[in-house]
Amino acid sequence: MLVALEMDYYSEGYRTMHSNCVDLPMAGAAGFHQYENYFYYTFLYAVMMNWGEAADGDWVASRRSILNKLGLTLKVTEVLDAAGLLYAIRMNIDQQCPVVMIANYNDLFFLSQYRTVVDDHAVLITEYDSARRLIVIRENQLNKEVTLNVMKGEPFFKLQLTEELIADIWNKSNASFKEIRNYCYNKLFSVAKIGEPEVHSYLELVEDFVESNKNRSSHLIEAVERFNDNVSLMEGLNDANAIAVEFETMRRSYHGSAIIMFDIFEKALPWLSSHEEWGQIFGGFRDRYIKFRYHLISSFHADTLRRKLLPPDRIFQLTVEISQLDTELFSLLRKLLTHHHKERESHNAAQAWTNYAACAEVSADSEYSLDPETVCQASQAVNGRWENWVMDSWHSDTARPVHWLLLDLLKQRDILRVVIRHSPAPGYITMDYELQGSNDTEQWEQIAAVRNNESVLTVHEADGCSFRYIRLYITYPAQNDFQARIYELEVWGLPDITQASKI
Amino acid sequence: MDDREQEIRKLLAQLPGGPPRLKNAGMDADLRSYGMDSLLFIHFAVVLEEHFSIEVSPEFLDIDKLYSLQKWREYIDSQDLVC
Repeated sequence: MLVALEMDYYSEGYRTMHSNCVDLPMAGAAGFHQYENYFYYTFLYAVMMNWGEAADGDWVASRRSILNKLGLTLKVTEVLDAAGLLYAIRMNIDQQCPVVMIANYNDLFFLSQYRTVVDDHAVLITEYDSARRLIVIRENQLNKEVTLNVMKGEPFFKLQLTEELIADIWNKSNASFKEIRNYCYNKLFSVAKIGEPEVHSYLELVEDFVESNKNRSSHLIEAVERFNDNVSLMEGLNDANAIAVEFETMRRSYHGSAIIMFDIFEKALPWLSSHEEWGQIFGGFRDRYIKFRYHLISSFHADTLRRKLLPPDRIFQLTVEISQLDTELFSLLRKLLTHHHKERESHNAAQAWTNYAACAEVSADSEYSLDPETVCQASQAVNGRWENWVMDSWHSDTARPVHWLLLDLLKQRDILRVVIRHSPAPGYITMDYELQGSNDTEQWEQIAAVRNNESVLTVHEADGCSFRYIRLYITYPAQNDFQARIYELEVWGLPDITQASKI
Repeated sequence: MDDREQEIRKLLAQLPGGPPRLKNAGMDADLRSYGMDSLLFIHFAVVLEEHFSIEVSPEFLDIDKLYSLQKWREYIDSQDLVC
């Protein structure tokens, strides 16, 4: 019987160079429970690398602190032998918990590039077939040569292995973990749901990040301050590849993580890509921030190979630059979040506005007739359409230059904005007019007065004035003739607020 | 192929940890598509520094800038002028 946990491949996710080969499968396991969890996890891990509080080196506790925010936990199952391993895999998958099995790279026979690497790797397990004695793992390094060219992330492709092969990998890796990685000796991990998430959106994630870390000092500063000590320590590492491994970790922790963080900022504020001003400010800062870290780590790597120590004033200068960039980061994020909320409030308010003209009774000084059955009636100026001049606009007659269009809003309304859609044809746009308000049709107050208009759409803020009647009084209807042409007259206000304020 | 070009190619071919296909890269080829990553790039930079008695400035420790042997050749030549 096949039991499979359906999860996304995350081809739009991240690469090992941005995070690491244990926490990306962990993010994938979290993503089984909810798609966005993959991105939330990778972001929270990136933040932990840069600003997080040390969990006293407790690997399980630090991962749980991330997963708990997503309403998840890292479950640890004790495993003593191959039979116990296979039982634990099946049990966890049956309980809807994707399995994360830690293994040594050089015990993972299925990829040639793994054979020479001595380090740990997480194998994500999501399916088993008890009848055929098969286990399906998700491996994000499969077909990497192809995926790197066509996909943003390293997708979790499926790989089917026999139970014997899985047991063999675990047996070999586990034996070595007794000495070097006790946290995963005789253990199998899985990601389980335990409650409701604290994080519900990218926006919440970023807001929480700003609030929690704005006054914290980045771990990159500590790394810079320790640089000379590390160069001395690496004196013993004559193998350039061993030094490279150290800097690969540093590059992932501080450069790859920054790429993830900025990607999540953009997910939280999706309007950035289309906002000319903020988009440029954000993009420019993102490139500067990420490039600074790239060059810093490259220089450190080169200086380590050169056996070159940093003078104290250079170390101080670098720590100041890192602090300044982080201060700029939090300041920029606060401004962007403020802008976001302001725009959203304004948008929500606009959504709640109502067009009183849609229900108004309309009259005019005259109406133009193409023929007895086709009249450009005054009511067509409030029909909500402006595509067809015969059907959707009011046209006056052409006998004289002064014309008016009158709206009876049926009762006194608090008016915030009036919008007029004029003729789209050059030479026929309303030139001079007054927008007036009244409560008795005798005494008229001016809302706006326009001369030499050239716009096909004019917007007049009415600032909450209160009228039952709105009149568009036209004194110069068009450059080319005496005919007034109004395609739509909209009168906007907030009915709920008005009623509430009147109570 | 002049002496300097030969030397650069030889140093690349001898670079420990580099994928075997790297030695097949032509002067204008993008080394990234021959398996050079940012870590190997730094190692290559330091090997070239030692051989040609130069020091690559921090802003050029960037695989996006010195991504081919030709780019390296031009950079090393420009350091001669500086000296």
